Amino acid sequence: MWQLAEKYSWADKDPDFVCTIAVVTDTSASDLVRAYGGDPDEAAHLVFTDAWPSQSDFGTHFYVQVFTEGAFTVAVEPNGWTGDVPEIARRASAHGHFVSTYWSMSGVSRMTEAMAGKVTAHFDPFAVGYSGGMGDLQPDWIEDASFDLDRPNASCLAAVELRTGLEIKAEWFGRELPTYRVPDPDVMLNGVENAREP
Amino acid sequence: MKKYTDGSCDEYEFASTVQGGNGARTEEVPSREQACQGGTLSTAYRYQAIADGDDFLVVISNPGSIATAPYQGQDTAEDTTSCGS
Repeated sequence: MWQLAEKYSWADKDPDFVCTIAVVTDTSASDLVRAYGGDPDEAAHLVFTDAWPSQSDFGTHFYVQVFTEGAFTVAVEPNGWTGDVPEIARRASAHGHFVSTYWSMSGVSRMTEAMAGKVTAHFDPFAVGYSGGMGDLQPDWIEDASFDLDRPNASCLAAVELRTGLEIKAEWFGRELPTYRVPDPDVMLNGVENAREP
Repeated sequence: MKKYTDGSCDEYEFASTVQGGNGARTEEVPSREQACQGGTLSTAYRYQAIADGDDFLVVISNPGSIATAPYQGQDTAEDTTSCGS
């Protein structure tokens, strides 16, 4: 997979580049926006850097950019993490396949995969084989992936492509995309039992 | 060492700072808490224009709302429904 990660080297160039990216099949953009808690009729068209939650919004609302690429629906969250929450993976994959990768300024990286409403993977790819990965739901395909701490974001994007067949394109992050305001996932899912349990 | 399915290893000093990395204290925290912390930090770097090499001070502004004991698989923070606000 290291060859696959090579083409994603752009993802590790900016240390302030933090996001969650999800690729989903068998869902519409509208349904995916709803799964994230947004209103599909309320889109703004923004580029990634303008879709960060404002300082006053942070902790209350975030933004997700949702669009289709062929048979796939893609959700990009600038400095957001709704797509990292297992309950969202369950909901968004109700009729298909969901794969997401999340990384943040706190140094965490995570991969999540779900199929037909069931989470099949939720793990820190850089803790595989170490005690830091205890409690993770690690899939068999970890053996096919090659997560490289020298290029963590590129490795995670390569893993998304490996699992979905969709190339994550750098140009998405400079293009205006339909952008939706969504709530803090832990607020939206408050009271949902085991929302963060895979 | 991470033990719990909804936990995540987090560290202080922050991984994104010069003081982070080797020697930082690491504890398992709820994934919710780590997401909030990472997002809060990114927001601060961006909107307070903290650049590489800049010094900054960390202040816990709502100590009554955070967990008062180590994480044992249950998110015991008083406020588990929002972050950074």
